[in-house]
Amino acid sequence: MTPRRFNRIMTAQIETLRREELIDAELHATLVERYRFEGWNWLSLGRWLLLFGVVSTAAGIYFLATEVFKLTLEAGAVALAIGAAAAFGGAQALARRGLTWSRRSLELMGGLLLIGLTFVLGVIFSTGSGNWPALLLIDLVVLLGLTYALNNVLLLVLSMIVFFTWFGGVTGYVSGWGAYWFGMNYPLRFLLAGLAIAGVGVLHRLSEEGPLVPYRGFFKVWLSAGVFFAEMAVWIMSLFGNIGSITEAYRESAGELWFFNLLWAGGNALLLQLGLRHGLRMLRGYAITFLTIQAYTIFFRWIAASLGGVFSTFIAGTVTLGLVVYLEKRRRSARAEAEST
Amino acid sequence: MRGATKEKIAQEVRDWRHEGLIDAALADLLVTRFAGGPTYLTTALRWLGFFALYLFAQSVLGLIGMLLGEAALVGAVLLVGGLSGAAWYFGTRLVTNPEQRYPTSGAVLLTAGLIGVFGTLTTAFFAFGGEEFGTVYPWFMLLTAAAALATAYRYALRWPLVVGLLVLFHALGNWHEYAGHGAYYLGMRDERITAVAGALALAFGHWHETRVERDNESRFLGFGHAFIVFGLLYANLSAWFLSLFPGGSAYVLVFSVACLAQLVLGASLRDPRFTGFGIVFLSIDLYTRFFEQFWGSLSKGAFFVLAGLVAVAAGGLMELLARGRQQREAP
Repeated sequence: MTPRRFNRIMTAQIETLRREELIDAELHATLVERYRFEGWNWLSLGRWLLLFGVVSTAAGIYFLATEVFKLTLEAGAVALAIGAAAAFGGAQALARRGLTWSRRSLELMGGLLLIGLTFVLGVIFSTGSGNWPALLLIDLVVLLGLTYALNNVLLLVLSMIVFFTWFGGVTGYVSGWGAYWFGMNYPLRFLLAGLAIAGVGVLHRLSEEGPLVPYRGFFKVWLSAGVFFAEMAVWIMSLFGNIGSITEAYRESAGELWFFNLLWAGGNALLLQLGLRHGLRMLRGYAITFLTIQAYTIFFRWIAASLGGVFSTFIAGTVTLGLVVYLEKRRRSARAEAEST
Repeated sequence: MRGATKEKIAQEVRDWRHEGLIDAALADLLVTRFAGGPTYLTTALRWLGFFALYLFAQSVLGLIGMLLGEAALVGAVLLVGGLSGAAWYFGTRLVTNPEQRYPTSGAVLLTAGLIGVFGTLTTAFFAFGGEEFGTVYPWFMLLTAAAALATAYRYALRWPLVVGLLVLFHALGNWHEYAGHGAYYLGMRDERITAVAGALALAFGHWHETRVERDNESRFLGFGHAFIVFGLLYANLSAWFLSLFPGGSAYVLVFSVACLAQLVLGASLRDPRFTGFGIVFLSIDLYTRFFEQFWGSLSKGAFFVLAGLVAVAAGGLMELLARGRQQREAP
């Protein structure tokens, strides 16, 4: 079924709900707009172009300032401050015209320029400590404040990325090798922080029915970031054990690997159940993705190399199939019972 | 209305609830109306079945290796073939049972049996003294894919279809592995052939959705979706890999334009699949270009600024258009 046809079905269902007076006129209009099936979705296209546009512009400004214009640090700081002020000021003008996503994107640009400004000021007033992550902590506090002051979900996403880097996360691409990499210093800390952030996401969701009504939907960013950090941390620890800094890998013990693999599988089984029970497809997606990665890694790391785990996978497969058969039987009995009563 | 469609509507209703559009009481009422109550057991069963299948597939691969080390090679062929045949036979019986007592279990067994086709062919090849496996295994995979696709259409099952498509693209030379030390590899033998195959799968999927699945009660509902997703995935991967090779500047342009084209198609067709793939691969593209530039010597600052400003201007214009339409249509 094409998405357009599904939207048509949804629209028909929404019309029925309106006729039955289960939804009011305002909600009806909101939902119909959401499942529009004719014409172009300009807003979707415009939103992504804006987002990619500001990121690309910010990267370009960095290259131009450092490689072409070769600005002095002081001149760079002034230029960045003016740029950030112009971005935030311009965003307010756009807000008055009702251009929500243009406003948010320009504020995101302002946020990116603020990070640049902090670093330039950090170099100018450097005490020689070399503690550059502290600058990111300052940015994080400022960006979180701006997120809620300006009601901008894009700044919240940027805050999460800043947190990742400040906390010791690294990622990159090895030029010319087609290789991408990802790492975390002290991943156990990331696991705990991830759980705490996901907890904030849950509290946010509950508060979005009350005091946080204006920030509806922000919980998804908190929850997603928290679950992602926790998943990546346990993935790393299931491979290398509870490492300290990234360079300390390959000292793991078998017990550690067992523990973290069981923790990972158990955590994802729980996440899957929570996602299904509460209708949160994001949690379901994370659980399925990381369970698949775990099964893939275990098979190719421990089994495929020696081809010695035939019976264990066969038995595990048979047990899982047995569980499916049992649950199907139970479901059928429950349905039969419900029909008879 | 088919169960799968009702389930999708119920999921939409849950999304409305999480976004605060409706209250808990109305959400419960609507979920019960569309899904007939909580559907998590049904969904959990499907994923549990998927994992059973995954484990069986792994054990088939392991079994081949173990049996090939034994003396009784003909017996090994008979064993793998017999197990696969039995899984396929019993799976078929469960799936075609009019009472649908064990639909998930049946689909798992049937698909495991199909994976065994490849296992049987491989075991037989070595048992009868075959050499240079690299030249024949793509053909074994193609045969397995053909069997899986035929089964999918015969019994209107999506799992064999997904397995068939996966095996088909692997037969064309796609591979991946866990290389130890936390490194995962993904590679292609010939990116151009895979790109063409991906484009064909995409076109076929679109035709399938708009023609074969025109009726909402069609037995093959969801088949076109699988073709489209596989097509988009492999076409994008091919273009991405081509853009990574030294001297691949033309492919950088092709890849970037293709990503933007997907965003445009997603907007014009109101299709989140195109939008989603476009966003993911455009992000990868920009990320790669950023690092390539960072380590390289040629400044592309002006390019990024210009491209960024054009995108911002275009995005702003589109939001204006969308707002204008909303204002015109407002009562």
